[in-house]
Amino acid sequence: MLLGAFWPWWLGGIALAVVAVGFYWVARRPLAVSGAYARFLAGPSADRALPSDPDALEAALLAATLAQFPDASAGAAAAAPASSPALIPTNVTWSSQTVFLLSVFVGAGVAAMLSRSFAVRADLGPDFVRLIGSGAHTWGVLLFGGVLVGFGTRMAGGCTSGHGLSGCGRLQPGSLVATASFFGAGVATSFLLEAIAR
Amino acid sequence: MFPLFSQKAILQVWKTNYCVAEYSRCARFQLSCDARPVPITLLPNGKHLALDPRVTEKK
Repeated sequence: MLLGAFWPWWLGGIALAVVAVGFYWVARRPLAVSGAYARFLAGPSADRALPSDPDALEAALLAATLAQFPDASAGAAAAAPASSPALIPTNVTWSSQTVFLLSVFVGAGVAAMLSRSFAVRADLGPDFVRLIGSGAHTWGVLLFGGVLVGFGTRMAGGCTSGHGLSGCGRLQPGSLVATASFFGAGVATSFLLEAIAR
Repeated sequence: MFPLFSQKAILQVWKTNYCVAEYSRCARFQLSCDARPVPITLLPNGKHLALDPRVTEKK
């Protein structure tokens, strides 16, 4: 067996760092799974609204700003020349996000196979069965939980990857607060469930 | 729209005048409140970024 049922923490940390930094190096934008999922749901038709030329986009924004705020934007334009490198490019196409999401599943499958824990199952493990039970109602529980997670990630503007990996890695205050909030809520919820099921 | 740009100084002008000052005037905010899709080229003042002649007319 190459790895145990769970990867060692240090190997998981290194792998996550490689993925987060590698994603930014390749895509030139922060890693964000929920954002990619939202982009996937928007469909390929939204690609037509995405500008393909970052320089043209910046120039259009500058022109629009000068037209709306002729005084205030003059200083802003001087402070941010058009040649400044784009931190986040605009090539977030539906196909690229679809490939990324598929890669998440493939990567998870490869990791499970390497640890020889790959299996098709309809629950989240023995603790889930002990707390929730088994049967058709568990699908409803999982669906409800998924809806809550989706609502929370869109409301917070990110999930564990966007805020936890990309945002905390860049010491973004909002991401630090968001990550502390959802991890804290997760720990509190797990203790609450344990107390209820005891 | 904002994450698409790198010129944060220019974006700050829009944020100061709409997001911070009178966000209820923001065309993007108004569409969001109506649960309508917000075009990526829509500016807070109701105009579209002049990326394509077909989308430059005022909303």
